[in-house]
Amino acid sequence: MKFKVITFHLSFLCFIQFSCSHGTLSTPNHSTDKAQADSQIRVGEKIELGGGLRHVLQVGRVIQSATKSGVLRTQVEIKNTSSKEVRFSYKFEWLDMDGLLVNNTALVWSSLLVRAGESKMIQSTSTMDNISGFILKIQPAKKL
Amino acid sequence: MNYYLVNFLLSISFLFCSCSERRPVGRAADARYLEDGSNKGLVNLDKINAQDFSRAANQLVADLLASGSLDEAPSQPVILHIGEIRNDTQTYFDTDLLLQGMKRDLLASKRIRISTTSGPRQKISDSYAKSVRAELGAGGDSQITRPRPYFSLSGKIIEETSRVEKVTQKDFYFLLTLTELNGGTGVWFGRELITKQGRRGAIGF
Repeated sequence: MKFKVITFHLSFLCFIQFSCSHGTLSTPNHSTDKAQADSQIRVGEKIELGGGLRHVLQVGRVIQSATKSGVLRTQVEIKNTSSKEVRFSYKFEWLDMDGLLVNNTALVWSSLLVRAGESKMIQSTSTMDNISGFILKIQPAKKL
Repeated sequence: MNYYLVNFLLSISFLFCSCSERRPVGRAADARYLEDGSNKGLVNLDKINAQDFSRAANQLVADLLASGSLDEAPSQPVILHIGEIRNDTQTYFDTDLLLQGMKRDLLASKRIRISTTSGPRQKISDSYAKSVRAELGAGGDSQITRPRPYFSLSGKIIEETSRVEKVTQKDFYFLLTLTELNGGTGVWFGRELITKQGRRGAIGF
């Protein structure tokens, strides 16, 4: 009986160690800061993938362009690298020149379904011209 | 003896219950606050929810700003008149739920100014300001300017229902038109579709 309990405890500890080393129990949010890497980028960007989505979604191109009126449009490519369709919610948070959150209608969660192996572009437009960056938040959708 | 004991206990419990703070009991007491635009809000099939208005307003403003239509005006910022937005859905709601968010975003872009004193009598948003301006203008006040709107925004919201077996699909179309007043022609036609499908409503999405 004692041997069984000790064996169970040991295997549980091994599982915990394995999970931590492979990231399954690591911090759920994953941030990518590519502001310095891409020459096309004019403002800072931060993409947060929550709830284990970083194992199934891959962030591709991030395109930014300013309209004639000075507002910034951005498109972020999201690829589903898993073999199952993934439904998630996302929202853009725009930051002004002081780094403060811009309170506009972009602060609403939207949902999106990406099929296995498919890439989709999600986009947003800032309503101000003085923008220092944006944060794209991606969270798993509610299970139906 | 038992009778007195039960009576005593009942009296004590009654005393405690009546003096203590009243709290809702059970699983039903789950009221909470949600932030604006939350993904935990209710999703109804038969009506437009708060997140739907925000999403539609955001997409329409983004499309309008990206189209470059506002840049065609000779002077900037351009003055916009907000006309009638007709609600052609089966449920009643105030169309300002859509328009107020759009107005805020458009003003933040610093490309437009919104007229609140021009338009038909029932449609102007500030009748007091209009009457004061009329009085001051009649008195010859030189500070009263009469900027004329260059564009007018109008539109409608349409609902379409489809049903297959027990699954219902609701399509809400937000259709807006930007008209240039000088030429009288439409320069931007915005369309945003919000589609919901399911058997019944849900909490969150």
